[in-house]
Amino acid sequence: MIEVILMGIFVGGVYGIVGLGLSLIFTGIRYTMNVSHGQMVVLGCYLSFSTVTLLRLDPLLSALVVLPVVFCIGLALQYSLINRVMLREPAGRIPLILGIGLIVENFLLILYGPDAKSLTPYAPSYAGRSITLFGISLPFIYLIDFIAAMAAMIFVYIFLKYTFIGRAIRATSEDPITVNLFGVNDKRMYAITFGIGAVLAALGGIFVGLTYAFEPSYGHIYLGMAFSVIILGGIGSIRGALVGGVIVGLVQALASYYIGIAYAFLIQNLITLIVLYLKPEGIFGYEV
Amino acid sequence: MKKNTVSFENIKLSKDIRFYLIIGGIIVALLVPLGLGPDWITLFFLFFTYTAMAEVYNLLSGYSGMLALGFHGFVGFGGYITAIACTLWGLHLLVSMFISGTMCVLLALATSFLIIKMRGLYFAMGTLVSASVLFYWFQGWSYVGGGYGMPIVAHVTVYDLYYISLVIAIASIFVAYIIVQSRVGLRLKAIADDDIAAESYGVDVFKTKLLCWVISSFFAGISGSLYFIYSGFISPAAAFAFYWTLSSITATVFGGVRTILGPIIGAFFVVWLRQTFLVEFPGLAMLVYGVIIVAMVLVFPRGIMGYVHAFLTRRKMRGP
Repeated sequence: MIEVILMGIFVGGVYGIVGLGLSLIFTGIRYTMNVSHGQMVVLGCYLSFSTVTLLRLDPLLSALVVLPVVFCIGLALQYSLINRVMLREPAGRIPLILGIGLIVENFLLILYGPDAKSLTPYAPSYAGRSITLFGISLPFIYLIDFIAAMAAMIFVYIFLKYTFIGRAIRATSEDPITVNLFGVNDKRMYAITFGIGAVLAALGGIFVGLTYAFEPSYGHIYLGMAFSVIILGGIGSIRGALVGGVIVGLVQALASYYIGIAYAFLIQNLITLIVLYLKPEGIFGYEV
Repeated sequence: MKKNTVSFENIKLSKDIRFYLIIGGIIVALLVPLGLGPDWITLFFLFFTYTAMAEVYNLLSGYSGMLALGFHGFVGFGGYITAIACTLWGLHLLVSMFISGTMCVLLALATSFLIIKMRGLYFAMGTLVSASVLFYWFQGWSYVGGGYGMPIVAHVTVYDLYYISLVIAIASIFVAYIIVQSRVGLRLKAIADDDIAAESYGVDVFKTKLLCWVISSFFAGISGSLYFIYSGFISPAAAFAFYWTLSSITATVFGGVRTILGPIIGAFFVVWLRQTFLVEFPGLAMLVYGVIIVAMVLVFPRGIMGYVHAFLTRRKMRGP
């Protein structure tokens, strides 16, 4: 029982960083809902898989290769494609992003085939192991998930709060026209924001790939997860993303333990729908 | 004033031509099964089914501006209701199709208070989450076979389905045309441009959106039931596939948003791609869908029909 709760909380940290990426893109790029976020997660999984099999790296070290690549992909996507529809209202930008997600997903499908893959066999030193703490036995990878998620969130917090680019991103999210007067190019900031969001998704993807199996078509599941996270926790808040991730992880773990995995997703989506209707700004609300 | 009369005559003439074209098209469509093989019949059956879907999708998300990302929820729900009525209860095909359409309307009415109140992005994501709720509900429901799905036993040939789908497609085009030409269409366009301004001018936003929502749910459900009768098997992953929304968006964006003819052209293109690639190279067809969406949105945002309209009006302006 306590194992189930802990596993839920720990894997919820990973959902939290995926949701944080979505939330960052939503607030940073003028309410752009990145519906290709799930595909970015799966892209992270597969790029890590390729790095691991080709360069024989450890999956955790593959982040050093995967994250810069995904950052460049995200940067290029926003700079060359999405920036051109920024004048439209937020819902009007969705078809374009949908098309991008479709291209990424089916590119992966053609390249790797539809079979499920996992990063676990490439990291036998820690991924397969269990760890016993105070009489509670947990798979070791869940602990790594949570520690990495916390580290990533603290890193994003420091980045947004104290670096120049981070402050420029926050300023752009508040007023994209005025920042131009202060020497910040808003379109460039959008591109960097999208890159960081995609990096967070891909980082989540690496840990998801270490924890579970993945397929090219799993993008929609992770988009649903990330959306639940930001709706439950609140859009535009790092704390909210963590809380939302933990709630989603807990609901998933408890519901699949007591009722069944299909109903776990059903309950998660129902809760999301109810919160979306009653309190769409989430638990923590709008704060960057 | 002179210009007005000229354009008036032009419209009258073009309406006549259009009338004969429509009648001719229907007669040809009725006679097609006599001369063509089953492959072509299947292609045209899918074309009509996708046309009905794309036409109401255009009505919902093009004219009224409510981007419904959870459109596949209705398609899958309609398919499942038909499967239940047809296979488990042993009802006649047409009766079960009618039941599935009615159930979709009831579902749309039941969810309307929850979903139509949401605006813009929240509507898009709200419908997507609702479709996920339906998906996981049917996945856990053992009466309809859970995650494995169930076969649909309906003793029909593809020729019967061809005629049924032809009727459905014509009905959907007709309904969309009537709505767009009437005052409701004007209200829809006003809502799509700015719903707060429309409300302040006395448009009942909720009722107008509800009308669109219900009509599109009806036709989406019927198209879903037609498709799954044709495929003979239904599973949650196939019924509530995001593919339905994506193909409707592709058809609408390719043919031209906010046109009546556009979704028809788009649907034909989508079905042609599907029949050519989807069976042998499943990734490639969807990749092309994605490329088309991106290219059309960026380069030709008005779609094919938008440019045809622009071309015709330019010629009309230039005079004979």
